[in-house]
Amino acid sequence: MIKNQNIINTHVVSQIEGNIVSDMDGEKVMLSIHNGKYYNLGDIGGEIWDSIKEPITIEGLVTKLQAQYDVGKAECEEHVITFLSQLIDEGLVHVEG
Amino acid sequence: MRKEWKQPLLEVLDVS
Repeated sequence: MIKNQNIINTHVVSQIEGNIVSDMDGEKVMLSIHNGKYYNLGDIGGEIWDSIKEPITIEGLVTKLQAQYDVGKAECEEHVITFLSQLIDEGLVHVEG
Repeated sequence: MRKEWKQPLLEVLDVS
């Protein structure tokens, strides 16, 4: 599996199953049954989480987000990779080359 | 119209 320092936009990201997800006041909250931790993904993080239900390239994810949000490609890509790095650290997503 | 972008952050909740 890809480590977070090596993520590039051609990599494919997808959820790891085994999380209980709920929408709370527009933000997505999640319980990992693997580690027992609760997470708040926020609203945009929730959008990203929904978008990676099926495997998607980071490039494809950024394009999808740019269609919904007013953000440049470089900024969006940087923020998405940072966010995915956090998800990797917590064991919540797969990233494959 | 596209929505305002904010940096997504993962918040680990402390549920004691």
